[in-house]
Amino acid sequence: MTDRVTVLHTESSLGWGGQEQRTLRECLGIRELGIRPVVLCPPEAELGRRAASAGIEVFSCRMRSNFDLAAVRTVLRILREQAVDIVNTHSGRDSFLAGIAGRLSSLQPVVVRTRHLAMAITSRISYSWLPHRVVTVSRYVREYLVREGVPGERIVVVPTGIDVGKFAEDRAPGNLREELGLAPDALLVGSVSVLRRKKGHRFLLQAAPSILAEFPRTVFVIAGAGPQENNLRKTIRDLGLSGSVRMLGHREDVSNVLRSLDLFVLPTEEEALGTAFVEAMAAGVAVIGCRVGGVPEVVQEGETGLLVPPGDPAALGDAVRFLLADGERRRGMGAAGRRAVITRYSVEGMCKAMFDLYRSLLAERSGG
Amino acid sequence: MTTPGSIAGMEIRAIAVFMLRHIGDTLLSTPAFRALRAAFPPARVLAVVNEGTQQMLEGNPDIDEILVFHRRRRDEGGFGRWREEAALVRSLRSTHPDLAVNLTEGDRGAILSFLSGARFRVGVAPNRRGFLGKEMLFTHLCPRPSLYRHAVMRDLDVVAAAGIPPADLRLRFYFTDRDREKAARMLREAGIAPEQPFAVVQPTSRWTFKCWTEDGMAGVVSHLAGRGIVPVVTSGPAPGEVAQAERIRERAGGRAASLAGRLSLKELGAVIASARLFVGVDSAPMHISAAVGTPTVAIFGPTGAFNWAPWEGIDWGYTAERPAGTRFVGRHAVVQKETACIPCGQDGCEGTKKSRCVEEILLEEVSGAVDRVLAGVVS
Repeated sequence: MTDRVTVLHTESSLGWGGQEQRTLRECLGIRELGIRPVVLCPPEAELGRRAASAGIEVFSCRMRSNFDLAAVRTVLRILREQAVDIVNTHSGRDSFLAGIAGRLSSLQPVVVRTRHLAMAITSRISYSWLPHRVVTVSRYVREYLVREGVPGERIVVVPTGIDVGKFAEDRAPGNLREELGLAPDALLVGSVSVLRRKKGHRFLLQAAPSILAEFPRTVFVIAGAGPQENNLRKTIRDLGLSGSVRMLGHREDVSNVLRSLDLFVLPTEEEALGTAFVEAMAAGVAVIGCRVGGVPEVVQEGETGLLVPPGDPAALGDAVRFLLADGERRRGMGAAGRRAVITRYSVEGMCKAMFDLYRSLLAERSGG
Repeated sequence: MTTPGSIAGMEIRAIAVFMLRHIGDTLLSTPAFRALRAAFPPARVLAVVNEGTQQMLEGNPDIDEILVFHRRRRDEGGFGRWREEAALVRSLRSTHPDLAVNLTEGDRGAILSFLSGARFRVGVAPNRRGFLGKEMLFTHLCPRPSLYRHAVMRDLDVVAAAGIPPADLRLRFYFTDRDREKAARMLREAGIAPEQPFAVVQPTSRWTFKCWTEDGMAGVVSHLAGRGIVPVVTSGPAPGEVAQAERIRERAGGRAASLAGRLSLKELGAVIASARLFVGVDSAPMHISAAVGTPTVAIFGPTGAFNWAPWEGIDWGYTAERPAGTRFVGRHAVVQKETACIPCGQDGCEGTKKSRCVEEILLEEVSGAVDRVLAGVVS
């Protein structure tokens, strides 16, 4: 129906997290480069709604199991009707279904599997056998897959890019202090992320008393929603921190919240890349994270932020106090972070890398 | 019949879009207008539509002016017709369009596109339908779409033939604060308190062959009332439709409020926007419901749900092998038999104006879809 290159993104998960957001950003960015993106997801998936509202064509299909033959048949039909050149799969189930369909299709589309997460994989098939290439969001995830036996030459690292302009262009400070009725000289320390146990918010709360002892003007800000919300509220009460911690819930004005912070702290225990850090750095804020997953790739220790061991509130408290005591260093790190993100984590860079990958895979296919 | 390249990025100051079809079709064209506005933000967009359908586009910020084509005056023939046609072409030409888009496949839009004086003219390839040389009227031709493509995507395909990508696949329907106030007042007068959950039940259509049984609709009304959701029966203004709505209300033991025949389409949209659910036949109000984002259960008979299912931007997955049947996509549901003769394109079985495929739908099928859509669980 069109002579443009068509990429089909498949996603079996229903939610709207970092993974789905990256997929939609790639769809939009790659469209600017002349490739036609289409999406296949279950009929109730949030990605489908968001993609449609951004003008991307969305197909739906139930994905009941890894070997749902009706779903494989649907994928085969969409591959044919939409003249798909490349299939990019994102979660476990759709990687099986679309991977199988891609390998069965007489169109012989290129199959790419994007691995967004750092957690353990359950099956090697959807990395080693079905796709022609695996894309990981960080070197850390690549190395993990290699350790699991996925051939290294099949894996390409394309770090997640963010809309840098949205965070970096507006240099004015955020207005969170006014919104929360805080003193202009309050020190804001916190994070924007989903409230999941592995994000380690509780470690910052545990470190809070030692920080407040030295810097009583500190106010901790936790933006985001998620399953840990009630647990965190309880911890705040138990530690007697109700006066110095503000839970903001889900925020659409992420950039404004970040630009209001003096210090971004997210003691996450597992992270494929750490897009939350990328966004904070783009907003010009110094960051503190843990030496886990892809975080050390994002945060240049001592230059754009500090890293501490995971699950160590004492070390975390030391790092926070160290940076709160030194405004100049903090601002220097924030500026360095912004520069680093512009060169390494822009959505344009990510889409260009994916575009180049697609082109080279298509060239390989027609050549071989 | 060559189709030249994309016009995206060119200087386009005015655009004329022809959508000379029914009310529902006009609403389904709103994503095409969105795409044009996004591609050419400063361009003045003129919509040419049939009389009676303009409410679907009024208030839409993607459209600057609506030119109404008066079919009735045209049908009078003779001098009145000529005057109408000439006046239309004159007002069209006075806007100096650079781009004309014919979203419909009829001859009229094709001729008007040509006469508009636009440099670029986009339409659907006639493929030997229509008059000889019709394709010569266009500079950009969209290949004839697959029969099973949704009407929204068909319109977007026409625009895409000129190199303009979709910007948002969702429908847009606008109403004013006055419509909203009137809707709230009518609901209050019908005995519905502001916080009370209610559902709009639209049992009628201008075409009786699309209508389900009155017993079935009465059953749905009772089912909703039993779930603590007040059913509000609506219909078009025709006395026959109002009477039908009233009979259904009576059959359900009067357990419903009625606004049948008393609302404009804009006011109806405002009512539906505050409803928990819409249940109805394939009709303009059903499309309005999808456009305002209210969970919609659409009862389909012999017409193609593949073209006209309630649209949220997500493909419904109907194919040549399985062109009909009950489906759940996003917030909405289609209830339809999987009879081999669907779609038949006929005005009821053997010209009776009644369709067995819709009359045979069981109450359990519709009430089951209602429950599933209300639960928000669609798997």
